[in-house]
Amino acid sequence: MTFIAKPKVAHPSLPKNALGLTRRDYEGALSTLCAGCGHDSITAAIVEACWGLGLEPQNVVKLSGIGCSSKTTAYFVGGGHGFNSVHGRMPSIAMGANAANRDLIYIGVSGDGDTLSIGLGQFCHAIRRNLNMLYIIENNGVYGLTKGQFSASADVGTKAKKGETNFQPPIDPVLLAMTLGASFVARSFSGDKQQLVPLIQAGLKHEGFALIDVLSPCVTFNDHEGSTKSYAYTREHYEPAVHADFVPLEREITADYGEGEALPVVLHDGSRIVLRKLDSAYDPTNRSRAAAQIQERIKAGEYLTGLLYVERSQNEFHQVNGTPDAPLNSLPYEVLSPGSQGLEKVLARYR
Amino acid sequence: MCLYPSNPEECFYLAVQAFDLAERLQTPVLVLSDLDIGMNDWMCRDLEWDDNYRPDRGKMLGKEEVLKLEKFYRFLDKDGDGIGYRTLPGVHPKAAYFTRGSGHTQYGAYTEDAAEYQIVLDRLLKKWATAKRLVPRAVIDATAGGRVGLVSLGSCDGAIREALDVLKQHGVTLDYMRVRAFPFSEDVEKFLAAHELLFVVEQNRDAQLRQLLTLETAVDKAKLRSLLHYSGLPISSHFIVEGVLAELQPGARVASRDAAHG
Repeated sequence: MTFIAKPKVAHPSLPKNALGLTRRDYEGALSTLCAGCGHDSITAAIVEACWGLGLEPQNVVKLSGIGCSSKTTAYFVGGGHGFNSVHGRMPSIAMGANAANRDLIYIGVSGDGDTLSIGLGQFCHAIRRNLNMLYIIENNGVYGLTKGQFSASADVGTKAKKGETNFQPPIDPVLLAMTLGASFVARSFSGDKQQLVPLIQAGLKHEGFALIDVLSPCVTFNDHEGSTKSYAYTREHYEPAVHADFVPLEREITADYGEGEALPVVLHDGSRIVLRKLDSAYDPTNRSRAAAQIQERIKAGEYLTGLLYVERSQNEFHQVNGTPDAPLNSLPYEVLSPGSQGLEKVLARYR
Repeated sequence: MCLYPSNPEECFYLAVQAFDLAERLQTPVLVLSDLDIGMNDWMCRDLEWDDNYRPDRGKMLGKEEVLKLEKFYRFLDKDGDGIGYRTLPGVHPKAAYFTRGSGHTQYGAYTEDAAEYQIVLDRLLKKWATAKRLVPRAVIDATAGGRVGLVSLGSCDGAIREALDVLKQHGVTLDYMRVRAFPFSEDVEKFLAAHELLFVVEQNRDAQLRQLLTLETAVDKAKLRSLLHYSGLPISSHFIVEGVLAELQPGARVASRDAAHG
């Protein structure tokens, strides 16, 4: 197809955020995904979340691997750098960029193929290092870009468009992240913007690795009867368990959250995530119990959604490694290089 | 791109150069060590650091420079060397760009247009030509000045230099070129052209250096004689001496292996 440039016109009455920017300022290029793709709804939610938080566009870094999901980093926050990495290697690129400049905001967008097959090792190690980033999986259960083969998140018994059944058990990114020690684990649905936007905001503000697994139906290859990742099936089987609202530092917590089940989690900058339990039996602050509950519901064919596990993370990558407060790429060469005298000392250690 | 150090000492210096080349050419650079260099003990001179050295960040624009431009295009070849200007994240919305996995125009926008895409591929070819001028030159010992040369790379170096001394005792003198980078520097072509017969010494079964030489230079294949060592042990001078003499002095008696090693 020929590329149509998106006109940069904004109606003067569009609401502005604290920086005086409209939602249009957080958009990117025109999407080339199929009409109705769940991924485009997630893109819209990211735009809304970034606008709402008033992020400086140039401070947002967008990273992705390969796949339909990974194309979407071109479709939001055009004023930030974006990097489409090699398939499954987005966490490495995020790691390098974050190591060089800890001050920027890192959003990784990946798919179930990119994360759970070719990139599974990278995904696990990004969690293990507690890399300070928001990692969104746009999960549709199929390889969309290569025309609809089952991915590693396809459920047992789900049917492909041409009728074959999947018999291999799925890898659940949420359960995997919880066993690896992730401090922010959420699941959502591309069709539930009210749930998704505050989750993205909370994930962006969380210091450490934040995972949101977003069920995002593939309208072309996985939206038929017999599929367990279709719009219809997801709407019937998803179960909001914990609603999370992000409350910036400057805003007071209002009476809305004064109910018995509201649970504030204070973040490093003083802002909070306020959790409201929609399922009173569910405990989003107890890792082992939460994991067991998620697993039980999956057995019953249901997806619990919302902020499923959260703790204030204490050991983000830079804290563990004792790097300086200033971004490494802002330090002058003279400070970084130990010089000839430094080299002599290193050599002396080997004599 | 690839750099080929011959010992741990050269690994150190080529690593520094690799970073500069990677930033100047905006491409990954591999420093190709091998098992012999990496796992065995080596005698090396003290490593030295030049305090006057400053890293080459290549073509990088800061905020002020970007703001002076009407528009910033990451992949546009302004200088004709095939290398575009880049910016670091966090500078300014105007400096932002998207490194995409699919086809783009020379202005960095998404495209599926064949002609637009081809322009970008042609630019990369120009960059390849630029790289040939910037990579470390080959190390050439042409003191023999004869018609026969020996070409090699990496950790074969020690065995080759010993072999050249031994060969002198047999009345055979060879010019020696040690390639240090791929793409090949411009002097590689000259050395190949200046010799009628060339031994290509390397430690792999498939003669990969010889293959690259035939693909990337104008050298006549018939001039090349491979001496391949791939038993898993480091190459010895004896192996090279035997191989060279078998070609140049067929029937001549080679000193026994022990004698060759003193």
